[in-house]
Amino acid sequence: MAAIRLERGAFLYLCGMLPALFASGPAVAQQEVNYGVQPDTDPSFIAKALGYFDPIEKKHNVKIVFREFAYGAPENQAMAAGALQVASAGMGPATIAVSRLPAKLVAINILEQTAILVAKDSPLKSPCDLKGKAVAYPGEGSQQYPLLLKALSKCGLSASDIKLFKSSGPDIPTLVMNKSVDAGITWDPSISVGLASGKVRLLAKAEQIMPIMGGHYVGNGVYVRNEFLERHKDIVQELVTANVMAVNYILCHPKEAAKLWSEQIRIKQEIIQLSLDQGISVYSLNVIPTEETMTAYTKFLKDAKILKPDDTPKIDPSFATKALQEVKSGKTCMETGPSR
Amino acid sequence: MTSSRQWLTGAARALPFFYAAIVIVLVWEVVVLLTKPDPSILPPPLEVAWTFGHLASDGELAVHTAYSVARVFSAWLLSAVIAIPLGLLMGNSRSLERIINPFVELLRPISPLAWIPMAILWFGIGESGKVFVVFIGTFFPILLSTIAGAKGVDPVLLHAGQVFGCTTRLSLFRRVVVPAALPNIVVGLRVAFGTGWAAIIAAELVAAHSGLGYLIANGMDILRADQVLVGMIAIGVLGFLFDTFFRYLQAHYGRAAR
Repeated sequence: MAAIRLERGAFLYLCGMLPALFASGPAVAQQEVNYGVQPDTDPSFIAKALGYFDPIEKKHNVKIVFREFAYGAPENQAMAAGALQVASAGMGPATIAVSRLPAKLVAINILEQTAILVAKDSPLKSPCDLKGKAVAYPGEGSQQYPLLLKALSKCGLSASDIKLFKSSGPDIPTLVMNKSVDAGITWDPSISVGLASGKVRLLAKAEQIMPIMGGHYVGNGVYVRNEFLERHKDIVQELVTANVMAVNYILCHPKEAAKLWSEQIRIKQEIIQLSLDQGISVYSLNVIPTEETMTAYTKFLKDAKILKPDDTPKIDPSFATKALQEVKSGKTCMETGPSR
Repeated sequence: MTSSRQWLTGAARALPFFYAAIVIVLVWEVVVLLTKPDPSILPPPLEVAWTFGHLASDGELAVHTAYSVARVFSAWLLSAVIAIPLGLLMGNSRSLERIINPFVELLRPISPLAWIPMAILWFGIGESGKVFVVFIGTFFPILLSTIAGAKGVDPVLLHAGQVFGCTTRLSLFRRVVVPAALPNIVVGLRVAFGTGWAAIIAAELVAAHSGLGYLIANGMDILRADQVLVGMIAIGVLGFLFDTFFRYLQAHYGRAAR
């Protein structure tokens, strides 16, 4: 009898916990701003290293905590669970997030950042030669997948014309080097790590596949959960401004920026320098996610069937616009153009 | 009269499962109504039903299901072809069992999922790697059940076989041991299909561009919880249907063996 009572008690407890579990919603710590990042050449790392976040923390009595993710999908899952208030990720995952989650895109902070790689001695000359070849990619949730489809479609090919192999982004240059696959599409700094090895070469850069902003592909976006944005407009504004200031620093002092990134993301300075020199990751002060850019980008994702026809990304360009004005009022290294 | 009674018995057996399915959907709907979670975390049942219908009508669900079933079936068949004769021989020969058993006991505890990286390295990114992973998951349950079946033949049956003319070891093996071990073999085949089904989902989560595991992993990547749930429902329903089929076979062969 006692056992039955105990079981009933446990059952009722579980029933009570279930709605609480779902209702708990965003786990916003009172004084912690959880900022999702990936270990790449994100200006957020420069902003952090240069102490651009310190005045924000002091002024608003908050702590900006970087939460690192290997790629965009788990970062979005963390944001869906309410564990992140702000996130910086590739434009593919960022657009998926702002279409499906209660979140808005507030800035575009890196251009390019994607390329198709082949082995140094590969006979392949262009994406059109990929027919029948094994191509490694980081999954459909990545921006690399629709870019690959776009590159193929320009040659009249589709995904069924190649052998797709899903792998983690950083492993792709190794798979290409080992000739486990014929080609691979991945993100930076994995591209630069591969190029620095001397065993792989570029088959196509993102700008050759889809130039969408200043002649470049849009690489990375910053997005914020709606309730955090509504409650803390000032913090969001200052975070975006810190990002634009970091971009300005990268444009003014590329070598120093490479050194700072190297310390932050534990990748050799010369590899990051190679990325900047060869324009694998490109930076521009124009970080505004305009309607025009996002309409084109959304169509691109819908064509690749990543977004549903009724998905509409939520964007708020006001923060990036104001940040750009604030930074331009000081000393800038380049008006709006890319870093090269 | 008999067929209508059979139908009624079948319906009565299926009733608890319908009841369970209805309760799950009701609880799900109530949780959604009460807590209003973001659809990317928990979509309402109707949205999932719509996605299910959409994926089913455009053939995508059938293609993914066919890939998963084909992979499991081919690996399971391969396992059966190797494990059943080997198990029967091991169950009948102590010396053979002594030689092979250490290998079985050393390899058996390694989860099929642990073989996934090696499968990619050895077999590449094609179908053979996935079939290999499922083969690992299905081989040992069939082998062990077959050994148990062959070893557990009632001595009375063996004696009766000898009395009724099975004078050689081979004829006794063929006419008494194999039929008597059949119920155990069917149990092994049933269990193996279940473990293979679980293994293929894991293998497809890692390195595939098709299959129900891929459908789930892809849904997770693009924040489509509805797609994830469709994949999960398909796995559950198919697993249940296969298990029901094997239960039927088990009952049938159990009766035949008796």
